[in-house]
Amino acid sequence: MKNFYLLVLFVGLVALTHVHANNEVEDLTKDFIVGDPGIESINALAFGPSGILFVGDAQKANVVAIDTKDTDTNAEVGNVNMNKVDEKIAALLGANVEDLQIIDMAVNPLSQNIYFAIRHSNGTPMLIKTDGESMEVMPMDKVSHSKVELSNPVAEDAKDRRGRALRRWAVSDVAYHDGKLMVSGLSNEEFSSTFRSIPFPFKTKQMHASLEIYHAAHGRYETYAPIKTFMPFELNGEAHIVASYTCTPLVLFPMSEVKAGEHTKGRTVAELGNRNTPLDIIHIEKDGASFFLMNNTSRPVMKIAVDEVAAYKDYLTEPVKGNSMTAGVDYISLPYVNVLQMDKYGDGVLMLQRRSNGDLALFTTNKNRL
Amino acid sequence: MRNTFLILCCCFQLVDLCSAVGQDSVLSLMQKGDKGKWGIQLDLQEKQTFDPSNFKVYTTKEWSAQHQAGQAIAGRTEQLSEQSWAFIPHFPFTEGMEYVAFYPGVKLLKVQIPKADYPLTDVIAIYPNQDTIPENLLKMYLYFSAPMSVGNSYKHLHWYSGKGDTLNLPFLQLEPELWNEDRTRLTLWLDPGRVKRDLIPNQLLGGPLVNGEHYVLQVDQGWKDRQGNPIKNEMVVQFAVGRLDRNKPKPNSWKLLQPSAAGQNPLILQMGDILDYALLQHTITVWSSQEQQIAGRVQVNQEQTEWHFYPDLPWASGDYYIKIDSKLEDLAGNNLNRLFDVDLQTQKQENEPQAYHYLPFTIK
Repeated sequence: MKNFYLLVLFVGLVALTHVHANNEVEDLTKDFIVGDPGIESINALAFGPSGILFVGDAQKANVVAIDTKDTDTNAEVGNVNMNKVDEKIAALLGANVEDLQIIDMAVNPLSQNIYFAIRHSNGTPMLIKTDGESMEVMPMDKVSHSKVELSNPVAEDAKDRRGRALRRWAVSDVAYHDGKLMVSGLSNEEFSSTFRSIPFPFKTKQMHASLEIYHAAHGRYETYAPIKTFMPFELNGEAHIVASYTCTPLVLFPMSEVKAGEHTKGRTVAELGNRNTPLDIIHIEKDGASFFLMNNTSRPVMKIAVDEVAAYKDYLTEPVKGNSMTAGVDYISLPYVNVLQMDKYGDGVLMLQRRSNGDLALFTTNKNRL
Repeated sequence: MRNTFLILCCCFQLVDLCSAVGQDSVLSLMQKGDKGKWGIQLDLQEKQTFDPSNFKVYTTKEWSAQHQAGQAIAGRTEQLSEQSWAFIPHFPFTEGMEYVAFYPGVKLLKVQIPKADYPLTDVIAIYPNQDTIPENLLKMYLYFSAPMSVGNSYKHLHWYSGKGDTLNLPFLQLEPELWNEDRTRLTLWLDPGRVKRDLIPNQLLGGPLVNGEHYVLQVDQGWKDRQGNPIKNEMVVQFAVGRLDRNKPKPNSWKLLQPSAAGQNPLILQMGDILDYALLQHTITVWSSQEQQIAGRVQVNQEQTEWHFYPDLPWASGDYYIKIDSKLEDLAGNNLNRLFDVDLQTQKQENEPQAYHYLPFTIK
């Protein structure tokens, strides 16, 4: 009998949680419409809550939030080990492998399904979903979605004679944190920073002034610093952004200091070597400590202790000499080279790696090995 | 006895299968509309039932390696008529590529998608187009006659010293590549980490350009346009590098040549400084004192030191002003409000940044 009560209580709790989860999805997607969002390019992917996928479209200068309805949390977090991913994608799309590029990869934290943004050299974007075994194309012409424009008001933007916008904001990264979508973008004309924080769900009319973020070199020279890659995270209970500028160093600033129209300076916490730019930054917990992992254009995956970043109070004051060409917070190089894409997968990490034999492999790594 | 029965059954089944599928069932290449998407058409014999899960299309490469066990192309099926269906791939078939279409019992279709003729694309301009560029040049623009492919741009750019030695590309290899909306203009940034004073790349490697040196930029012919065809001609340009530019453009020092009333002669701004070609196209506008924007056409002189404005209608006498967006930059990324990189130890107190600068003038 006692067991029966427990069962009733359990079923009730499950039902309540389910209702709560459904309400949350409904609240977030109540302004979504079903149709073709007109995505022309996919430059960045990020998952928000409830299986909502944010798609940064540089060609259209907007971000589309898609309700993937991929919210099944029952899936077991297994190991992924898929080889020749690019050839599988080429076969699925019926295209030449050399014409395709994997632009971004995001793991749905609920279902653990993996999403790839693919671009054909003629510019056509495709979204592909895999559970680590089979692959499918996600049609983008009839989806439940909502979108937000990133261009300036039309009247302010110049058009050419065919009515096309001349200035464009190329989306370089998107991330969701605590009710806000953050977007970094590069201008195809001015050298300036366009880091935006946009409340989600998107409103029809909203202000999202671009933020002025500066980079101070050794306390002396100061320039605008467009952000290439970034990740929001909590540090000592406060929201922070860790970012990489187009000019390579790793910078940190609290979200509270980032205000529209204000002159915000990122605190440089590490230089990561010459001709090297982080591609993705993720955050993992291991043995009660937290770490950043970064895959890079020309260095192995790096691991940096968040505690060290938090404790690092100074700007880098002296130019760094010598061969290491790095400075600031220390990092450990992990034995993973040529990692093109990386995301969290369960409490481990999923990597897309170009192997020395030329194969493109997708695999999971247990956090104990990181 | 039992075996004989089984063989007989098999024979009957085969006969049954042959008669059901027959010779009339056929796979063929189809096109939706005049210049529509390519698809594969399946016409089945009368009374044969259609099972969409059996209608598969593969790349020839995938079929050769694994046949039916391979990865089939993703797409959807549409019914065209009572016994006719079409497979339309999610991603359009690639021109010139070979595909294999399969349906059980129907003759396999091996087909190559015809290639259409497109005019060849050409590089039409590279800016800045002066012989001499400043040591701290920040951006270059490549203009094409038609939309280009995307994703491999930096592989088709080559950078040489004046003596012909191959050098590392000085451009930041950005993803996303900075194209305009129809992909006819690519923006290149000279690596800002090397241009900015005192950053580690700048300390170790110096700036990407050295005063007094010569450089050659080659755009190779292997660069493909959107249709997948190589560009018409390679392009080679040579630059000499001059001194640093660490001055903001100052509109108040620009010379204004104003036309007279009733004519359509251009209004000319002589800037005395080389400014960003792309930004000059739209950051300067002309307004009447009644806040009406004057419609017209902008032309920038060959040296990018003059901005010419041709009005659509003859000038009426009266007061006007030129409105200049402070985002306008010179070749080194200095805009009207701030320098590209500011030395905080020597920099004097700056004026408050303003969104626009204004230059009034009168037409008589």
